Amino acid sequence: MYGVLIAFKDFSAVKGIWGSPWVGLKHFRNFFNSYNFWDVLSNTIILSLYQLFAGFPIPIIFALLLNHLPVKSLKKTVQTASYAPHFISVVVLVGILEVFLAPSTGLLNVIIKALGGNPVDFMSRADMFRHIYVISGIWQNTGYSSIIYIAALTGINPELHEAATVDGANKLQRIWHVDIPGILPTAITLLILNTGRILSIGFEKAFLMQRPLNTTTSEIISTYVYKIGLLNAQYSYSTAIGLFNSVVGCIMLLIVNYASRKLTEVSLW
Amino acid sequence: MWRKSKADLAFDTINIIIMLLSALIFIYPIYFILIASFSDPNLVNTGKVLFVPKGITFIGYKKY
Repeated sequence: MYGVLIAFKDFSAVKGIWGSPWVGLKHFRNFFNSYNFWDVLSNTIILSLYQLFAGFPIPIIFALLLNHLPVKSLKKTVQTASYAPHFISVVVLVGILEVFLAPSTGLLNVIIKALGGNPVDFMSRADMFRHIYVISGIWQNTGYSSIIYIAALTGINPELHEAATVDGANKLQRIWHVDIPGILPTAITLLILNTGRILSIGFEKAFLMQRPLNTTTSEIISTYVYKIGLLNAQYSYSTAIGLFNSVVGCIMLLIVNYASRKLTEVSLW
Repeated sequence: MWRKSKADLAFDTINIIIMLLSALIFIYPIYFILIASFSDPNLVNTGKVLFVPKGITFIGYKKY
C-alpha cells in the first residue's frame, strides 16, 4: 500500500518514494483528460460485463445437466473432461486459439469453407475480439466453476426431490422448483464476488490476443497501464490508473452487494 | 423403480447428447495440442493434422 503514494507524487527513482515532490491529483487529471480514456474504460467495462454475464449462467446450466445425467460413468467422464481446460496456461490457450482460428488453415475456417462461406481472420478483427475472449474464457472455466454448484446441488435434501417425484414432477420441473432455489444463494454470492473484479480482468489474455488491428476493442485498462507504465516508464501515471481501477472495482462491489441485499436478501455482509 | 415418463426420457436423451458434445468440445483442443506436439510442423501449419498425428517427429521435444 505504501507504493500507492507515488500516484500522488512525481516519482523519480533517484529521489525515492518519500523524496519525490507531491503533485496532488495531477496524474488522475491527466488520465481522465487523455484522449483514449473513454475508449480504454469502455473497452474494459464492456469486456468484463460481457464476460461476467455470459460466463455466469453456463456453469450453472452445466452443473444442473451433469447432476441429472442418468449414466454414472458418463457423468464422471464428462466432469473430468470439463476440468481439463482449466489447467492449461493462458499462453497455451491463446496458442490454441491461433491454430484453430487461423485464416486459411484453422479448423473453424475449414468448416466455414466446407459450408460454402468465406474464411474470416478472427484474430485480427476488432469486432471479433470480445467474442473470442469471452467464449474461450467460458470454455476454459465452465468445468472448474461448476464444481461449486455441483457441491451445492449435492447439499440439497434428497427428500425434496423424492417428494417432487411422488407429486408427479418431471426432471425439468424438479430442476426449476427444487435445484435452482437450492443453489440460488451460492450463485448470487459468486456473482457479487465476480462483480468486484469487473475492472481487473486478466491482463495476460487481452495482451496476448492483442494485434495492431484489434486495439480499438482490445486495449483495456491493464494493457494500457503496462504500455504506459512499464514500456514508457511513467510509474506515477500508471499507479494512478491502477489505483483508479481498484477504487472503481470496490465501488462496483458495494453497489452490487447493496442491490442484492435489497432484491434477494442475500449479501456478503 | 419408477417408469420413466415421456418428458423425462426426452430430457435424458437430450441431456446425454449435450454432455457428449460438451465433453468433445472440452477435450478436442487439448487432444489436438497433444497430437500437434509430435506431428510434422508443416503439416500442422497447413491444417492437415486433425484427428491422428501425421509425420511423427519428436523435434518439438528436442533440447536446443
